Amino acid sequence: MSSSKLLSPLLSLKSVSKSYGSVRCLDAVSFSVYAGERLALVGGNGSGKTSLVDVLSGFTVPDRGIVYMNGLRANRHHPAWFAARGMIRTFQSPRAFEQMTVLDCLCLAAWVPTSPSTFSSLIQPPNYRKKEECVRKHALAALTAVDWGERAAVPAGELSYGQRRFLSILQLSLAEGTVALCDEPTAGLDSNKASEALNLLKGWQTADQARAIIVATHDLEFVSSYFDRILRIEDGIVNEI
Amino acid sequence: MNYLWHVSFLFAVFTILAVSLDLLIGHLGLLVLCHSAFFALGAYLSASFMLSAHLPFPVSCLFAILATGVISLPVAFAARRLRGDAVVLGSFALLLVTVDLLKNLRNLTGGLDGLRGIPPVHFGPVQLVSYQSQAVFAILIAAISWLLVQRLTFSAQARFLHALRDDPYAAVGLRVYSTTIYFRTFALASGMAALAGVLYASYASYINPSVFGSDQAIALTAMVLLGGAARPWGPVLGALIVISIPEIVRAIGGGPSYVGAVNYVVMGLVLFLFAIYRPKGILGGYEFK
Repeated sequence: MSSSKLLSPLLSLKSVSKSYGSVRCLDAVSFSVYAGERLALVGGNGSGKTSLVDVLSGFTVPDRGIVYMNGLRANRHHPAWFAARGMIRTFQSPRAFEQMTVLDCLCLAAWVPTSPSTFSSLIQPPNYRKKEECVRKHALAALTAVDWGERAAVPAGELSYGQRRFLSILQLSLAEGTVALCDEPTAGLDSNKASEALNLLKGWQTADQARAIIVATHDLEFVSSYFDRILRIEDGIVNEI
Repeated sequence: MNYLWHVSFLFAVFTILAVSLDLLIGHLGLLVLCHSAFFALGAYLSASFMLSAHLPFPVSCLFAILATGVISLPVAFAARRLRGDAVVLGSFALLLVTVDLLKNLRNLTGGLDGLRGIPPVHFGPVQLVSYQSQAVFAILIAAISWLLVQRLTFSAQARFLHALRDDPYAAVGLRVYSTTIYFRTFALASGMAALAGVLYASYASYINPSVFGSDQAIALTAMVLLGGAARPWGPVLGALIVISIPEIVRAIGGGPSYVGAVNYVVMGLVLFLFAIYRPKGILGGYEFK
């Protein structure tokens, strides 16, 4: 047993089930995720991956079973409750802040979770200006590193499907958090960008060994080289590979 | 000359209203029609504090702004629960209820007769009674309000507001989960509308419910949408256009009833054409989906 597993899990599911009408998406799913873990959920279309990610992040309430985060029962909590405890996630269908520029999206990610107060925003004291300058430099450096420098001023709503997906990974890579949940992080990306996305996720996780990362994907090849634990999900039933 | 100062005063007051409404429409993404209710609250509260409690102008003004900001919080909560068209309908219903209360709470508001003899803006012995002094004071307040809003909307905090506006689910996914920023901004916008009401009440010295009705709500919304929501000069330009329409009609030679009728026809037509051909407004601001 690794040393991280001696600690209490960051996330835990106990016999979680979820159905939509007669379709059972999750069937008595139980597993735990510990600090420092890199976990992949692999399954085909309609296997229940997104339902599982939604249950893990509070976007869906399970019919039965218990969800724990940081040892606290979290079944009926709003996604904001999970976010306040360090949960950060991307979505299967990439969501973007459409009327914000790419640079602003990244600056926002670098600021979270604490927003400056209205007072500091109005007065803009030296510590606020210093942090804002640092955030902008960090965001610009992240854009330059992936050859997106010329897209800094482009509204996120003007990006293509794949570019929005990549932007959501870029945002995640700059944000503070303890658990990252990525739903199909490489769907719609070419092999180069998929590889860059994986590197960004690696970078986020290795920046702090207490962080855990969970990826839901259909692409076993993508996860086999990096993830240290792989769960296969099929018809809502989860098995360790 | 007094006429020009009078129009300048109106332009300043409506700039404060449009800039504050733009915080709600352009930066929070809430198409609310109850902003003139906050305008009314500011005017009535400040007038009541000065007439009944004999409080000096600065204290009345401060209390009216703070009270309106606090009263706006349940409205902010309701607007957050509602989505899309429901916000428009809900806020319009709230405006109708407010105007009805102003008409019927006669002991407090004077009913349809309104409140008369509201003292002018005064700081100790110094009273602003001339058209010029009141207009200059209002322009100064409007300029400060505009600068404060620009400071806020070009800050890091604005990114949090815009994220909540553009996609609340993606925002919470990125750990933008705090709602205090939303409530603070809503209260700030309402407080600014109250400030405009305070200035208006002291300028006109007489207020009644008809000033704050649905006509005013449509005019304020038109100012923001015509100029361009979430653009620095959008609401200012919108206020200038909407204020100018009746004045131009008047200059052409219409009487008061003629001005009123033509004003609404022209404004309706302008809004209609803009909705079709320029949905982002003249300066190209935030677009409702």
